[in-house]
Amino acid sequence: MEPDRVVLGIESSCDETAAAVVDSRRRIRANVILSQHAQHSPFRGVVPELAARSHAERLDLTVQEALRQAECPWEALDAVAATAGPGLLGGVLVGTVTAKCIALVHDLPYIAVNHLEAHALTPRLTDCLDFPYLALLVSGGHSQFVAVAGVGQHALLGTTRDDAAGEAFDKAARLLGLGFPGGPAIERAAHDGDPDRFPLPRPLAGQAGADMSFSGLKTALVHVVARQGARPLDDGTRADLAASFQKAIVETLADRLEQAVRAFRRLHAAGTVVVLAGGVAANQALRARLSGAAADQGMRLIAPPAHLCTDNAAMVAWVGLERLADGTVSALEEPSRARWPLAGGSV
Amino acid sequence: MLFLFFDTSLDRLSAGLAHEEQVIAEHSEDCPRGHADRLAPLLRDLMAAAGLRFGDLDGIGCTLGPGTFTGIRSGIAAARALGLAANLPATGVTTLDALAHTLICVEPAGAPVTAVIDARRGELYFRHFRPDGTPVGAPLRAPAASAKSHCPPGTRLLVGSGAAILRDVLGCGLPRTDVRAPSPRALAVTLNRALRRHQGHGYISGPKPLYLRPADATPPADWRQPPGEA
Ligand SMILES: Nc1ncnc2c1ncn2[C@@H]1O[C@H](COP(=O)(O)OP(=O)(O)OP(=O)(O)O)[C@@H](O)[C@H]1O
Ligand SMILES: [Mg+2]
Repeated sequence: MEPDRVVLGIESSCDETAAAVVDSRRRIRANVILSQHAQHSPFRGVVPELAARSHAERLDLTVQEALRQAECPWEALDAVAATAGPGLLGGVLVGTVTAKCIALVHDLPYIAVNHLEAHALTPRLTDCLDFPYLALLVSGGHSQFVAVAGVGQHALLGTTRDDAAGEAFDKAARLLGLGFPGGPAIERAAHDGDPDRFPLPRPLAGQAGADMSFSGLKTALVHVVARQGARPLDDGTRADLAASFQKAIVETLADRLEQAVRAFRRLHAAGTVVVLAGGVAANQALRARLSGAAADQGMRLIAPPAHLCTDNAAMVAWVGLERLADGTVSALEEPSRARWPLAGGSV
Repeated sequence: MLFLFFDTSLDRLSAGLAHEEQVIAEHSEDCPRGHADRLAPLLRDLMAAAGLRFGDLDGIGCTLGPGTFTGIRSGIAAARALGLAANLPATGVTTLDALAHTLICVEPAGAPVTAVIDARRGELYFRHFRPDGTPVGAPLRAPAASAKSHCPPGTRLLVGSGAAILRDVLGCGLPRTDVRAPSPRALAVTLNRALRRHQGHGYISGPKPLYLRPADATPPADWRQPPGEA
């Protein structure tokens, strides 16, 4: 049997400063996440320079804390993995420099991880999932359907033509005067709301191809809010708007999933699993609805626990373990990048 | 005191190894951008060429800024990670101190020195020093046009990328336009002093960046605390 391998993972591509220790038996020995939400909240969005400054001042202690919680001495590590993109470059660089320097001191392999692949491979950590599967990645910066055939083997089946799903949640929350980040705020507000009070569009519904679009939905919400008059929204209306908006996104994704399953089956006739990953996958209404939509297609939906859907370093460490196992580690020269598509053009 | 040092804060990348004030290995290259990805391989090669392991070192030193935000952070993140991983003290000196000493460590200046970096957008970063290199006051950021009010009277040596600009504003001073970034020797001299205080300690806490300029970010005018958030 292959000996246990232990990898330190680092994540700093957006507004979470995170470090984790994960081993090849799929044990998450530590998963430390320092969120910067409070710092960015006044700006109603992530301010890249503020994020980068915060990462630079906190990442070393975050790593130290992860190793302490994991009771893991440096000598027990087999590799250091970091998100090397895509993301806000200032923050990404803090993470990759840190990882490279740790690797250098302890003569360990460095592994440059694609953040989207980390989201996409998370169910292999949490649910021992085998390849191939269909992944729906929905996060703050991305919305894509990807056929995942192996480590580093991804085919893009569909993507958003405008806003990402998480971005749509964030913009809607801003419009409704809810907090940042918007997704959780909308979900909370929607809890007491009537999802059928305000009819909103289902962009691209029924159309062939697995692309998505969310900007029209946001515009429709702007008009509905405007029709409520100049008064500030009362809590009941706000809840109904949040619920209606959430339902529109959920229904849109359910419709798009049907198309994506078709495209996926053309590549992998035997595939039976849909993975829901990325920050928006934390949404309970979405999980429930897509679970049903997948079942209707004869597929099973797997979504990692919510805290492993939003940005974290355990998913980064996991990709490190996968890459260590297949021998594709990175050189210290490996560049960090703001843009790093997971897979080439639509199939 | 044997230590590894580097400067990533300006458009050159310098790194080296020093024993006390003596540079025993060094490398400098033009580096308008991309310090972060260049740094680790450079340090690896320096250590390998010198036949040293991190366990042989007594400390890590870097520049704190001012300079480019990303450059500063690359150095800070590297110093912190190396210090943490090798359990060595990691500390820094301001880029302005290292710049001033780039003159002073070669020949006694004979006159006060102002290290001055072109901060773009019509601004300068600067700090004044006595002829022996003792700083006078804190590092400053000011519009070039009003820099005069922050400068003591008298003739001074001006060093750094903003030297010519400040000379024009002051109407006097001797710009040394050839010196635009700290030399390895100046880094060794200033960082040796800074690290000496921590000799024999392990990693305690990392050096703090000196940006001198706030991040570009203003909350929307109508911002109020969202309901339900502390
Ligand atoms: N419960 C939820 N419901 C809906 N959206 C959510 C929920 N929780 C988080 N989100 C959304 O998820 C996004 C954050 O996800 P994540 O941290 O994966 O994205 P990111 O790292 O910012 O972007 P990317 O991964 O594309 O670089 C935000 O847009 C947030 O509003
Ligand atoms: Mg993410």
